[in-house]
Amino acid sequence: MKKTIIKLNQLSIGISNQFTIMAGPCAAETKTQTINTAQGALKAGAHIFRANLFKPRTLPQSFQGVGEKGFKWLEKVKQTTKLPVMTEIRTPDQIKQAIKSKIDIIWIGTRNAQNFDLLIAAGKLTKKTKTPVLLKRGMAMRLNEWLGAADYIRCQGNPNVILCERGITTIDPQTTRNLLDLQTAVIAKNQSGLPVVIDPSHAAGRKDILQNMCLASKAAGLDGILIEVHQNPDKALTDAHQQITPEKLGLIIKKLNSLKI
Amino acid sequence: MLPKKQLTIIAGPCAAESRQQLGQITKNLVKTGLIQAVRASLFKPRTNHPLDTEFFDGVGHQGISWFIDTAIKHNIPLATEVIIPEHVTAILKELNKRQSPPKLILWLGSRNQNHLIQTEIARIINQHAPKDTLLLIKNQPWRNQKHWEGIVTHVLASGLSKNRIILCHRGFQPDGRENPSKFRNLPDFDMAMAVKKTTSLPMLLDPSHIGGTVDNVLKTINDARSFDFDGLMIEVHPKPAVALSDAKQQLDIFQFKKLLSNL
Repeated sequence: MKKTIIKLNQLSIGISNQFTIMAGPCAAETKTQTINTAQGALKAGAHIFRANLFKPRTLPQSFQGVGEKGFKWLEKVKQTTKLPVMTEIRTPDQIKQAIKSKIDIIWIGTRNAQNFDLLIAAGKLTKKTKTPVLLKRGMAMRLNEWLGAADYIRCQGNPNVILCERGITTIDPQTTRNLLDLQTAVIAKNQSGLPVVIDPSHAAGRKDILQNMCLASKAAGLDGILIEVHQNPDKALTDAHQQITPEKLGLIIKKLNSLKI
Repeated sequence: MLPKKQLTIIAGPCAAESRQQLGQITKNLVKTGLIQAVRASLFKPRTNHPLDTEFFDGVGHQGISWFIDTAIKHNIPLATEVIIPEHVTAILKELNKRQSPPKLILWLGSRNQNHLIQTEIARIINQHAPKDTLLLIKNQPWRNQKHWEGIVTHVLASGLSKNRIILCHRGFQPDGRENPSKFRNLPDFDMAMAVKKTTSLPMLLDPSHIGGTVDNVLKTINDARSFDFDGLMIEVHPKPAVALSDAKQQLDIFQFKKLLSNL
């Protein structure tokens, strides 16, 4: 299986000796919070900054994200930290805006993992820029469905797909929000040749096991993590219980760096 | 399912394949006098990727006029899946060309869990579709009552009124619970009844996607008898063996008639 390596600035996502840390708040809330968290993530040792502008929520009354104005904040993050930035897109229009704002990676969330028209649009609209598309696994998706969804994007002419395992539906949601399926993540990597990263924040839905799961992801030979970091997790508008401080992220990255595989 | 209650029956092929196939099955189904609407998907969301040689993703836009013509000819409401807002617009555009258009039931499929799209589809129906158009919502693939109820809330946020919404239980992806009969998707009848109660919306049962095989379709309906479902959405094909999708779970017209007479 030919390996797909995704080059982004100095990063090569998918090569064996690189473990990429994608970190940032669940959602961008204000300009200050976004830029401060990015500074914190940079200091902690993160390689890519993540933040949601458009939040998919179970209920329409919940905080839906700051919307388009957040693109400017992400551009500011790029200028000040030199970190590549990534954000979730949910419509073809948002993909166009993301490309216009020079977003470095766009991601398709778990609820859209089998939204085939969006997958096709993501492939088509990134054909020219080859902007990497991170595809999260649907919460009840089988391996063949996940890889099929990746092919929907790739066959439009953009080979740069990153897979992201974020936990699947569990029989025990009281204990963990989702069940982290490292096994299928490894098989997905072996079978597709695509880089696979792990989102321990959404899998766990709690903070106390994040470090363990980050280390397990690296030990499993996977390509990185996508982790939620917030300046003040207790005050976060979304996912407060699973976001950690940049200082805690720094400690996890230190541990990760000392783990040789 | 309470045997004496008047059930709403929506039946038809998984997918529209040709004008002739649609005409034939609609004629036979209407002749039974047992159905309230005929179903067929025009746009099929498929797992297999588009490079697969066996890939069939529906007949697409050309099927809209086939289906509307067929429904007019047999004087029966039509039910079809819409995946993106543009599908609704295209169907309404074609519908508006007809003198006496058929009643529409549009449905949101299980894998379509983009809330923006769900709300937008409901908004277009509310603002532009004939007032008797209904929106049917299938449950998401993973088992979670809050998410299921959340879809309804997102749809209602469009302004579409409650009496134009129907729910449909099509089972959840097998998740480790016991599955001795090897159902394609595992039903949770208790959850379906709970959602029916919390949303006060009618709840249909889709035994075809739960069962996955003809035997299991029948078994599903049997298992559901003691629950208060308001009707069925069921796949019936003129020749199931040669169906382009879901061949194993589609009933032929004789099996369908026998099933309904047993109810």
